Amino acid sequence: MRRTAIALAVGALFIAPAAQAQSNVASTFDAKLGGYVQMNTTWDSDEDDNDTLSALRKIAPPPRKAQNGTLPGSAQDGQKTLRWASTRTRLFLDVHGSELWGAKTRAYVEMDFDGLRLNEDSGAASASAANTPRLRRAYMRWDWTNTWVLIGQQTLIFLDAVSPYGTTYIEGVGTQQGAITGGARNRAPAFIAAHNFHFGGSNLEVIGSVARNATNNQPLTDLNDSGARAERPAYETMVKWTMPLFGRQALAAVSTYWGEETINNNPALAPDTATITGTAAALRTQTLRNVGTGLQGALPLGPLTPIGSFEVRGSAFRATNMATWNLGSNSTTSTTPGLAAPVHAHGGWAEVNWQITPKHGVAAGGGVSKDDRNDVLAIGGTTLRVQDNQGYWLMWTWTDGPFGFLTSVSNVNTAWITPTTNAETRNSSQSVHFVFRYSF
Amino acid sequence: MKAGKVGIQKRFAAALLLLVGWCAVAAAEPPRLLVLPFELFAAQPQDYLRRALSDVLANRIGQSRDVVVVQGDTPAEALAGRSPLAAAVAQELGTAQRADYVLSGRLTQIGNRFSVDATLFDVKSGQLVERYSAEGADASEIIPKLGEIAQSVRQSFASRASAAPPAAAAAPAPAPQAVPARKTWISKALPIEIRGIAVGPVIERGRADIVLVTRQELQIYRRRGEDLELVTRYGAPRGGENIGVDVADIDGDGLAEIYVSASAPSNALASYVMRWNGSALQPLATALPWHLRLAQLADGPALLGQGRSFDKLFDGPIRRLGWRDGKLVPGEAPPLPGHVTLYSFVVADLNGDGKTQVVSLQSRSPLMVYDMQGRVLGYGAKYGQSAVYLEDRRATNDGQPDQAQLPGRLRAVHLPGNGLGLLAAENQESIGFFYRARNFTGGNVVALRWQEQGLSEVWRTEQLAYVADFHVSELQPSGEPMLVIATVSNFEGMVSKPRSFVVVIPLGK
Repeated sequence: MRRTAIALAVGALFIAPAAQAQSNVASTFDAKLGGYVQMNTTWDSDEDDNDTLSALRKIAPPPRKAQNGTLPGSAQDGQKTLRWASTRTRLFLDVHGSELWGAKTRAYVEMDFDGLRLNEDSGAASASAANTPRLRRAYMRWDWTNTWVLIGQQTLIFLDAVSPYGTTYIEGVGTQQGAITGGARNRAPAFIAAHNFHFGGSNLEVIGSVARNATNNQPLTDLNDSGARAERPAYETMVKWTMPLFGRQALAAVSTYWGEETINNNPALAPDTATITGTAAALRTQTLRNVGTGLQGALPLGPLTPIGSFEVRGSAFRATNMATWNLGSNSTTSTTPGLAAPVHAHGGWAEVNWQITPKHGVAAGGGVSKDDRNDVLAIGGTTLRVQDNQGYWLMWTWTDGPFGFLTSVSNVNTAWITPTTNAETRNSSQSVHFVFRYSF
Repeated sequence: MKAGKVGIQKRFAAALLLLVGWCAVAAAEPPRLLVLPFELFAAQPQDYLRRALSDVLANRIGQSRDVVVVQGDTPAEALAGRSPLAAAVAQELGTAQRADYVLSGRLTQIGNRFSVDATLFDVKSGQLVERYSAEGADASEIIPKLGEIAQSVRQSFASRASAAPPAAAAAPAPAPQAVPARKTWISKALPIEIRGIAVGPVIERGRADIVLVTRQELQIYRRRGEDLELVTRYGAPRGGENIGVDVADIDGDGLAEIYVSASAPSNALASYVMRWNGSALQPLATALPWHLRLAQLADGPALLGQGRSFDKLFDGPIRRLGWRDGKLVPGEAPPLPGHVTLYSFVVADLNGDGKTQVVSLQSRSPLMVYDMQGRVLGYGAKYGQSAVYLEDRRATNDGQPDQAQLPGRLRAVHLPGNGLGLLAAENQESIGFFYRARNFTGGNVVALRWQEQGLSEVWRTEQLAYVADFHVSELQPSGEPMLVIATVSNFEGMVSKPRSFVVVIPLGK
């Protein structure tokens, strides 16, 4: 008996698969927490009173002694600083659900810690970062085979098909308001839908969006959902064409933005305001349009080589009354109804990047963003107005698994004009960035 | 002290039992099989085929340790115009060659279509034991069909061997023949982090090589006794990173090519195909803009490819790939549900109801069972968790890039006693809720069965290290299908050295 038991036990050791079990298995949801911890360390040749650090200085400050003797400059000029921030850290929750109506379903919530910057006492906007969590994006999404629909807060689709190299891997190149590479970081609640058409190896994606008109041109800046004072939504479109080239992918995209806003001389007299404190006869309104057109592209420069791959990317835009895509301070020439005219702007950037190995890459690029000079002159007054901004950058990235590192040197040349005198003032600013990121 | 003595006695008894059982197996002479030249019925019979076809059968059956093939010098003249399929002829020639069994066959060809019929005779009794047959639409299918018949013959002899009483009747060990063959075998530790594994005759026809890919290298191993011997290695071209591997003889030269999915700098795909040129690995194709996978479709295994776009890891339809003028070119797109991506799916009639199902593992989704119209029939658990993390470039200024942990492999196999089933890896994690950071603690390969009531587990392997990939193959001449698993116990890191193993588990018959 004992011998039999031993023999069976020994035999069982060699018999695999061992476990024989019948169990029902089913689950449909998957929730993942992700994000990254990031620290930016930046040396600036001139103090930047914008606390958000990006890998390219946005605008150089006016010189301490303004040229042409027209106006005094700023205290920031020549004030070297070494600034540190971990506020670019982000956290997101990504939930994938069961298939619904034949589509994969998803919910996504993302926040950062580059907070609202409210003054602790008054609640007014302040230059000091509050570092509170801030909702960046929150949306639900359905993905069919070739079609997707998104509902919620997401980055505007306008001018958002191609990003500079640094943004692709770690950090953006001045993607804030007024920056050379465009302001596609603006986010807005939106309905977005897209469909893909496949032609052989090529793909045509047509995207449309109905969203809050988010051009930032409104006086009440402390509203969290700030945007234009608009009754109508903004309509955006993008047509994106990708095709194989040299064993990689080339991309070309055209995008448009259209919105409309109404300005008035006294918000208290707005028709839907319960308490009217003025006379109706004093109410004046003017409707202005926000219009933008963008071109973007990415082109592989030859096939893969033993020393890596090369690519050129770029974008160009024309914008009217779109504060985020011109130089920020002057979307219209005036805030007075009847006198306001839109400021026209144009710009673009181009960059050559060299992906040396999967872990290392180098990029060099430059860009320009200009407001129409006559529009700026029409603003009038003696305040210096940014009119022309140019920059160039060189960066190196190193990624290894979850760790990423970017270093860059950049230079920005900015020109201001004084509308009343048409005098021009120029200055430049340099910065060196070190960005450390760990993704999880 | 007494307890210790009893323990030693028990261990000694167990060892003795194993030893005796092993000796019994060694003592049992496998039967001798004579393979006769084929009979040919064709419009233009080519005489060399008579011997060539029987040679192929003999070689493939000869891989089995359960039978000794005696092809001998049986001259065609010995048949003297008689049909080798006649029992009397088989008995006569078998007796002359001191064979226990005789296998004789016939090839009938009408137009392009052909039929191969073979018969197994018992020499002593002169009785017909089994018949085998296979048909094909094209002459290029003759060799594969012969392989199928050889497989059936091997299985037949393996069944006889396991059913036969041990030669040393006095030995008390239970079913000792099965013990060595069913042993789980684990290789020595390999100082690499395996990403993919495939098994096939890469270097020598009829002999299985183990092909492994790491992030940077392709390595070929061969099992010699209890050792795993590195035969050759090849670095991923152009600084690429290997994603996965399959082997298959798509070009029909008798040796399997190696199909490696790989990505290149700038997130392009740069997959490549290798073959053995007699002395070294040689690239057949490089910089292919395809994810590559040998997958099970309704009409059999096929080499498939899927592209990658500017900002999507998988883009466009999955297509069949084939060789034309020395180039791997895409063909038709098999009908598949839209969400199915390349690496992890099978198309098969899993419950034998005559309808085909598509079973798919997709990143962040449970195992899905679809009908051919794309309707979801059922769900399984989240099998196939993998450490292979792919990230596409971020196209937008602020959005997340398309990124995914690739789902592990899914295979449809015959599960002994359970019909056609599925095999999938299931890896456990200590913290399973982070998007990218993973900490695998172990894994299993799980056998699943799809029936009316849903998906159920049939069995699972013992707990292993993280299962990177697995393959089912006749690794040894026994002809028994083996589950060949690549496991990783240490992942490669900035300060840690990688460590992997190859585990071989017989699937049973």
